[in-house]
Amino acid sequence: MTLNYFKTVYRIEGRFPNHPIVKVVVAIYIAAIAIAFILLGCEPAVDPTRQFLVRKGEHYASPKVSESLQSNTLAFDARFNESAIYNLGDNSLQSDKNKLMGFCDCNSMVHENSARFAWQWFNNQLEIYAYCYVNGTRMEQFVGVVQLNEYNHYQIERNNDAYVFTLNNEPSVAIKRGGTCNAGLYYKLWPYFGGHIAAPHDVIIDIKTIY
Amino acid sequence: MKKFLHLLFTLSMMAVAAKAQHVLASPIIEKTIAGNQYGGQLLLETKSQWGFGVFYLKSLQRSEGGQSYYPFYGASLNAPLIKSGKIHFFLNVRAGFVNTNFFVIAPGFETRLAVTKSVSLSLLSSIRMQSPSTALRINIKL
Repeated sequence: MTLNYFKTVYRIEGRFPNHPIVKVVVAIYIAAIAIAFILLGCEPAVDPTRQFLVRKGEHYASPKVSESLQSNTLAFDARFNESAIYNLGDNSLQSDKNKLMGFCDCNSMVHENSARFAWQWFNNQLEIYAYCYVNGTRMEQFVGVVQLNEYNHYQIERNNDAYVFTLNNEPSVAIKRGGTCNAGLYYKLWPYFGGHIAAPHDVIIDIKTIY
Repeated sequence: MKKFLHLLFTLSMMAVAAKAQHVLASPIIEKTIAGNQYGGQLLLETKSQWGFGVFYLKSLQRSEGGQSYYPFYGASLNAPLIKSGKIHFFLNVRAGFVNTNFFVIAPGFETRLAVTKSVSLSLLSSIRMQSPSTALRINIKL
């Protein structure tokens, strides 16, 4: 089978012969075009920024998202606005930690082994905490203070022994990790208001996940 | 969990292999929210077009958060939905591990265009990292 054969058939019949080689060539062309579309598409696939809303009187934020962690590091940027300011009228309630984002450790439930950033409006400032459950025991540690209406960078690194929390370029905070497996399902945890008290008004948080 | 999945995979593989009509080898390119990934898949396919196989995907460049850089490998299941001439539609589920530790399930919908008896093209739309992804496969019947 030579190129001349194809040329001859095309000259006589006005079309290429119905031969498997022709089909393969056509398939390669289609594949090349599809690959070009996939690889050279300049638009980002999806905007990874989500706006979460905790409605007045509720704990859970919407939209509801179900996603698993796929890396040793969970990194994201988050922005609060004035809706993060609230007054519950009692210091013990005011210091309840609201959850920002984190993950459940290997095949664990949230109250068994998990690591999250938490936040509270306290002393007229937005305070960020490391908030973990380690073998069922809750652990909290102050991480830093952030300003409203600006994005800040949050990172939780899961290593063999500890969860390492980093806020922007501030010194990291490490909390010892519990005895759990290594290979399994790690699902992400999303914004939650409370503590004991539900949101006193609508609370809006923008989160940009970094993949 | 890995041992259980390994056992499940082996048993399923044996069951499908017993009924398998042919093997499809496919290079893959996939665009995800974290970047492009490349790899391949081996699929045993029965006469009724149920498919079961293994795949491996990896990015060549590290993304900002590093999620696509680590290989994603595991088992792939194809369930036939509709057949219309040279176009076949499948429900696809991929389950496996990213970075050896993180278990992931990626459901999808595959459209396959038969080009010749031994070559076909597949466009797979699936959910990776809670976002849509698109993959192209060139299936070669062995």
